[in-house]
Amino acid sequence: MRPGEGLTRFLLRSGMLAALAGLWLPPALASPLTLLTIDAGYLESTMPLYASIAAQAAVSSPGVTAKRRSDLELARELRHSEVLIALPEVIAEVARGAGADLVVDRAVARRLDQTAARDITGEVERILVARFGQLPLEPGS
Amino acid sequence: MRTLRATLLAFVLPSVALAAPPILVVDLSDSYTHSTALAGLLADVDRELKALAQMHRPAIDRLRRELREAKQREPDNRELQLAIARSISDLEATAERDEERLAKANETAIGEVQRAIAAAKATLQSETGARAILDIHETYYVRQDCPCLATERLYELLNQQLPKVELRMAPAE
Repeated sequence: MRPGEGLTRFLLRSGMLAALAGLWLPPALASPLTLLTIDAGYLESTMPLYASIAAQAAVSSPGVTAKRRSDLELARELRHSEVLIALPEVIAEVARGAGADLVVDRAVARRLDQTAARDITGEVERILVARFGQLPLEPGS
Repeated sequence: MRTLRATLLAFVLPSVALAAPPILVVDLSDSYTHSTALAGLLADVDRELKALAQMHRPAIDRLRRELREAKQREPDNRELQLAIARSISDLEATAERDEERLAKANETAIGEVQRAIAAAKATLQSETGARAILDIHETYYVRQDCPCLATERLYELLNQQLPKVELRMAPAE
């Protein structure tokens, strides 16, 4: 056995080498990141959920008063903001479930040349639709 | 020992080369508490603002009192009242110009800090080999213990590179 060979074998067997490698590398280089992407613009403003909320608020009946119309518009805005408030929580929920390190917008991922990153827009949208899609715009309606 | 070195070279170096291009995330939202330069600048601006107020306020208050008294004592002496009012207006304009000089000095100092932040980011990027440094606002989720979080190191570098920034007010005209 050559000098140092026993030590090498011990380090390899005990996993110490990997641990040492981890220590010697700067943290950012130690492990590749699990990056996910979303289409933030879609989730924040253009997904069909918002259209269905708006449809609930749209009142075509001619007998509806201006005050009632304004109340419904307010309820629509409120629901939209509730979805926006829930959005970061839902993104975090999906990201945690996927064991992700980072979630960024698709445009940022493209800028970083991370085009192969898994996109979770659909999963986030499904959760939001399940949570808010069937909810009446006003309590008791 | 040569075998150990060879093993390390065989295992460790390729792992560096093959590692995915890392992305770092920094959160600069608390920079006024974590950057010694910005914290010092904030204290300097506060002190200057108080000093400026102290410089003009007593004279303005005194002139306002005089104007009130002149109106009661000599209600028909418009010239006196106008003269006092003009003095008040001049002093207020001077105070406003002083505040503008302070705002300009603050802006210049902040610019210096921003350049130092950019330099610290460049240092951080080269020392870690990171492909990019994202601001936390560009992300939608960052795992709490993500190795990509490099805020503390960025502040270390920033505080080394720019421990203090001077608030240089231009002389009054």
